[in-house]
Amino acid sequence: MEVSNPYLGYKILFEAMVKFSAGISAVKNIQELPFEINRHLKYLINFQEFQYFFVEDEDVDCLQVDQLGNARYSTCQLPQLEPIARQVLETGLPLSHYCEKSRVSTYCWKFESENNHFSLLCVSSHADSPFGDKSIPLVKVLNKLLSTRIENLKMVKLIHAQNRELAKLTGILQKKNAEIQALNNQQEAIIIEKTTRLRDSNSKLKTLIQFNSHQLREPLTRVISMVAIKDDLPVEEYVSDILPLLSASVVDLDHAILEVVKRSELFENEDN
Amino acid sequence: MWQLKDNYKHMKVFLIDDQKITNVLNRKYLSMIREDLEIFDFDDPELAMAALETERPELIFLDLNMPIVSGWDILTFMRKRKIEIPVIILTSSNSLQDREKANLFHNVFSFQLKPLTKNGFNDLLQGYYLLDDSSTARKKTG
Repeated sequence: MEVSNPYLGYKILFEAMVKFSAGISAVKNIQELPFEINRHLKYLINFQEFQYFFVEDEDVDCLQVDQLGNARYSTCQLPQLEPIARQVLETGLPLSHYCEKSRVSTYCWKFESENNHFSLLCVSSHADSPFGDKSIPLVKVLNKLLSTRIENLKMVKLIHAQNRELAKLTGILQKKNAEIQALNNQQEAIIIEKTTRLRDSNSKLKTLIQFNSHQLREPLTRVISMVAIKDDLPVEEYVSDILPLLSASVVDLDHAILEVVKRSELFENEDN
Repeated sequence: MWQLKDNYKHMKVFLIDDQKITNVLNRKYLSMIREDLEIFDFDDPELAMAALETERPELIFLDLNMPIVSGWDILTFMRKRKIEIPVIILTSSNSLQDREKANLFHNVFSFQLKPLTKNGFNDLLQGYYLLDDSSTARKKTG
């Protein structure tokens, strides 16, 4: 990118940098990042191919764009990187390489982040439109913007994953709580039912006892009275007035006993 | 046996028990003790309730456990109508609850468990004669 007026040149560069920065800030996930780089990079540096590798442990995120407008995001493992990139990663020293045949120069830099990861930035350019030395300070700025954004996107992704996990756990917890609640309710219902049955049974038993006591005693007291009155009455009167009543009362007593037995059996059956 | 008092001659007595036989027996016992008693017996408590106000007896023997209208219903009826006649409860159920409940009616002066024989009736009538005229049923026996 050559502009004759230096002021105009800086102005264009500044605006392009602002757009680049705003563009990548708006990107929602790492896969879209190469497309955003592709939109703005041509206003910042001369390149035939631009590669950015974000290295975290053994995992590498690869962002690639080329002059023809192709943009690509991929992931790979450290050993799969090109030899020149691996060499720069190992030594930490920038490298440049010129191919006579294709007239293509390749430059590669390694940057170290405070957060325990590295990045590699590789630019190749054709001799007809070379990557200028003046662009080198821009490489640092580009790296800073990209690595911060990638780190940020990864963090957001991690938070989302954790949130999902948390939501899942909350769901499980709620389900378990509901199960416990259901068990509690079931237990409570059983207890209430048992208590009600017991109360009902007690009340029936009380009624039965009262019934038995009265039903049996009433005809019995009549019989006792009639036996007791014998000595106080003339025999004729006793035979004519009382004796017929005595047999009726004895029959009543028998009925009462049968009724008491029937009710007791009924109660026993109901209670079981 | 005690000396009859003039003012108790021809005393009206109600026997209220749904068992006809019990009424027959009680009537016999009472007649044995005193010949001058005017005894009314009711095996239908509703009829007894109606006769209470017209006949105004001086003493009532009352059973508690009766179908439809119970002894308690009759006691409540008397309290409502302010009919102050001494009552002897004659019941076959020896329930503490019933005894406590009977205490709430101040005209009930005795609570007796069936069967009642001649001596029992004799003691009760004696107790009745000991009652102070001015505070009819306050003094209780039995």
